[in-house]
Amino acid sequence: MKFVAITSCPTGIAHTYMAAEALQVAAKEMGHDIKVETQGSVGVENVLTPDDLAQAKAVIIAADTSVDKSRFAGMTVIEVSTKDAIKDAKALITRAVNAKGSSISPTDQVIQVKPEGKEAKTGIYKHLMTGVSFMIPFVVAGGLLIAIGFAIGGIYVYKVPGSFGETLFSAGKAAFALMVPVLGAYIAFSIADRPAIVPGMIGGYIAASNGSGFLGAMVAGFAAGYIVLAIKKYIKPPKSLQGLMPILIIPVLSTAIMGLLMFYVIGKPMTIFNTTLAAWLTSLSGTNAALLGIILGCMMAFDMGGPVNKAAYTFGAASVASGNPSAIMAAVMISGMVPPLGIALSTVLTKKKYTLEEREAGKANWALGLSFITEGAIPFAAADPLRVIPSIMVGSAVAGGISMAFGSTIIVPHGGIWVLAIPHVVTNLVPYILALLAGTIVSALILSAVKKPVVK
Amino acid sequence: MKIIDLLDNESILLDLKAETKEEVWETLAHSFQEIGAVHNVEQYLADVAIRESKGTTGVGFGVAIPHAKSEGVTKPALAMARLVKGVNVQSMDDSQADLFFLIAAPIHGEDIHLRALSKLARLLMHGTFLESLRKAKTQEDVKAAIEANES
Repeated sequence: MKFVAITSCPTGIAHTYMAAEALQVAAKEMGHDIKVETQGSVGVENVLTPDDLAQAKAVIIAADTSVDKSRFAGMTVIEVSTKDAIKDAKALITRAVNAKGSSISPTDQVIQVKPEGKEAKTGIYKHLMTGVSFMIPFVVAGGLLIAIGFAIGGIYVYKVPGSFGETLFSAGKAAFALMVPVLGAYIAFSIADRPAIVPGMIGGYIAASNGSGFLGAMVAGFAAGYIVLAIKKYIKPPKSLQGLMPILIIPVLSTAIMGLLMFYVIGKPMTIFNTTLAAWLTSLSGTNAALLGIILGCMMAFDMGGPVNKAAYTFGAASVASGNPSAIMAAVMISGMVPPLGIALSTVLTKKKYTLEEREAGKANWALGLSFITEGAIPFAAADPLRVIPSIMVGSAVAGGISMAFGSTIIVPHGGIWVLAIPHVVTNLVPYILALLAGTIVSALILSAVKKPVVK
Repeated sequence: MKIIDLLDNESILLDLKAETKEEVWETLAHSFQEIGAVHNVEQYLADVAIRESKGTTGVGFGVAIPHAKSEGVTKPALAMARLVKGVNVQSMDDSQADLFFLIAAPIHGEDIHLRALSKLARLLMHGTFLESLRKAKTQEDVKAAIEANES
């Protein structure tokens, strides 16, 4: 049999781990499987996943502190002190084995119990984090493969289909194409479990293609999750047709609603918004250079691959299309490099404010930022948008403003740090690098100041 | 960081004679002061006592792990005492404790030592490990036993 457990004690130094070890030893001796999440002073380790919960027959909470039990709604929970686990873990396992099983599978019950009031906030955070944690590998794999592709085949690698560099580049692009749908899918999954993956992923896919980007996908993910919950709650087919709910009614209905929602509520205004934005940018061409740099910087960092970022990038890329050196493109590129770099620096400066997973993603962000792959910052922005997005916008604005003020120019639309080494690609190189450093440091400092420590 | 990196030879006392748990704490805490891990012994011992008052750290099997995060601590450290005759620590299983691990943790600081301590806590749940500590003849034997089990 499989069980899950949580151990936690006030100081979080000894009892948490002794209880965990005692449970593991006892379970092993008795031929059972147990996964123990320790909530100690090192932070939460060995975190229980939705999968673990789905497989577990019962939950053992051996704690002397208050442990959030909202995750276990509907499951059989045995609560004791760490002392009980240390003293006689076998007896505890026996209790769990004999605990009255419920007739409905645990996951079904969990999704029926919605967090209310105060808990709703942690719920939203949890859904975001679930989506983000599934997205991170896509971002890292995609970003690094694209960077490697560039490194092998140069910045026009995509113009040589079938070459080795281009193949890696395309694989990376595929990962990037999937990352936004995956974000939508797993936010929805976190809310309403497996049935929500279909509408969430499709909503995210539509968001990626209609230009609303990862912000659109976040909306889609939450919408999909709650649509599925609503369908389950309000549509009660006769018993003979209940088998059709999971395979026909839920996926078709939720996806239809999702599609209509994404098109009429999000897509239409998005198109109008994009056109307006592009026109507005063109009208700005003659204004003060530094101001334009600041505006472009803010836009690059605002949604990282979303409509606002795309508008700024397209504006910049158009200005070099004729092969002319462009100050606008220079500002766009430098401010697009800042968000991943600023975040990477912040994960080093204030480790405690990031989860282990985020710190690892932070390392990849160094390479992504240097390669002008702004998307590396998305998981961080999606996890904590209100703190992360403004911080990196300020840093990118600083970089864009400095670059424009010194009149640095560039003749290529991509390449990041790697093209700086090529003679005559960038003019006014020193202030350009200065702009990058200043933007990165400003972003990192603000971010480290405003981020909250990881919830333990 | 490994467990033995926190455990100085000075802080391993084999065959200590003591009547009460407080006596053991004091002896071990002074060894912390000697190696420069604790700068305010009184403060530290007070914090250990406060922690103890919240619930016994006598975890059974003859083991006690008094500990505290304290302003009096300079750097994280671990001390061990093996008593000739066990003393009463209000153990969870009513056993007399003959193996003491005293833990000193600074209020602020890196988490790295906490990981080492969490490993030690896990080790203490294994009878064979405790057996080897009770049989150890020298400080080196103690460290070897810890090292052998820490992986």
